[in-house]
Amino acid sequence: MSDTLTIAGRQFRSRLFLGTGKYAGPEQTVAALDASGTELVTVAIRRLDLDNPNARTELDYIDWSRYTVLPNTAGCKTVDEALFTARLGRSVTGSNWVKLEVIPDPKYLLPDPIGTLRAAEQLLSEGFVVLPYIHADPILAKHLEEAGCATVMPLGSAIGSGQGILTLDEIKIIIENAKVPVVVDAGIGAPSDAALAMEIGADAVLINTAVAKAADPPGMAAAMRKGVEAGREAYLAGRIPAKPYASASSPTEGVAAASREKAPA
Amino acid sequence: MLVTDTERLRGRDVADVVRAAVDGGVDVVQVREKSLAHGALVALATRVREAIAGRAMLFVNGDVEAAIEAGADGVHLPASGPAVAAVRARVGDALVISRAVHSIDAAVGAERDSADMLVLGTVFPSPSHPGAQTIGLDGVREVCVRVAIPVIAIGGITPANARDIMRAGAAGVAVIGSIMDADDPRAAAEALRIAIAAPVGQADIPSGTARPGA
Repeated sequence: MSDTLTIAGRQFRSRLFLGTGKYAGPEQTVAALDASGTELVTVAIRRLDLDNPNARTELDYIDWSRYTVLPNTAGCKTVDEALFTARLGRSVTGSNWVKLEVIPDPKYLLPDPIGTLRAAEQLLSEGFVVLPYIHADPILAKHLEEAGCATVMPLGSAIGSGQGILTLDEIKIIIENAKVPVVVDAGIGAPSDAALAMEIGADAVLINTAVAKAADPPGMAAAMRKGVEAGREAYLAGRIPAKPYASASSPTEGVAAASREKAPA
Repeated sequence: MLVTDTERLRGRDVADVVRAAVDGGVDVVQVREKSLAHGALVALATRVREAIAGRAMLFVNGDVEAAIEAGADGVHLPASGPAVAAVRARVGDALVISRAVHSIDAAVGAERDSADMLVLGTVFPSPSHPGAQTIGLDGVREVCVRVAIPVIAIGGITPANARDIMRAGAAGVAVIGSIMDADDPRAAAEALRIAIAAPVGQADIPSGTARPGA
């Protein structure tokens, strides 16, 4: 039975998406992407290191023909910056897919909900396929879905923090109400976090720092792959509910009667 | 020369605009995007090169490595960018080197440092270079008599003033808005091509000259 994920008409077998920033070097990036089995990678297209304008970036190393390359609007603090960067991304990739991030706050890197909605509406009117990054706000997710976004991407915890899924209840509500794929994005630190997101019904997860900054990025990428697959299979297999009391694994009725019958003569 | 400006695409694909401009007679396309990370610039320049399909030259602004990686014909160095001599040492004859200049001294210096061509501006007021000091046709004439390498003029060039630019000694014109802002980039390019190729005629003879029969 096929369990492919469809986003804006495009199909994905892997439910693990990877960001491509923060790797120590190109070999690590390529090896990690390879080990992860990912089919979609996000890339920052803006020049973020102004001191070293000709520095190589991940875009130089990834095999564009192998992945769906999704430009993001990383580094954009305002709606106008995000619009400009999204349009630039379209020129660069020739694709109208964009991962929308409007992040004015450098300390917590929280997305601006209002700016994100405004930018999404404008980009949708220009024909973009928009994948918006948001806090796990179920009402905001609904607005973006109704505006026409291809997915919603609620955070698990702050970008790069590795704190895992702190927004579990909110994400469950989003999943319950969403008619578009829900991709948990940001804060995943270990495969158990990724598995948890998938177990509660997320359609995919997006991971960057947890792999790029692991001691062994390709090793962690392989582990994340397994975590995502395990979580997804568990979701499909239907877990038992959690109960506040015990429920013995073997039956205890009838044992005493049998032993009485066998009492020695 | 068309200098691309993705902010002025108005939702169009840059590859389509470039293709149309080249159809209309543009023979050099300069990819100029200062906000892009290096790899993204290479990707953009590569897409533009594919759209050009060998019918025009491709230059990349500012990033020599990107010009090389994208298979460009040349690199255009901004006035505040890397020195011509250093870039020449890096690329040898593999790339044409174009340099932006705003004065006679800069032009002479760039030629001495082995630049292959100059882009001289800002000739007329231009929305692409707001607040820039303009040099006018006199500025073009003064530079063109001092250097032997081709001088391309930039800054507010339109079909109406392009012929004067050529008569002032320029080898060609570079535009952003005249093509990017046009609804029909091909027609806009054709109009410029016609204007700069027009032979000198009756209308070009200075008005003080005596005419037969007057």
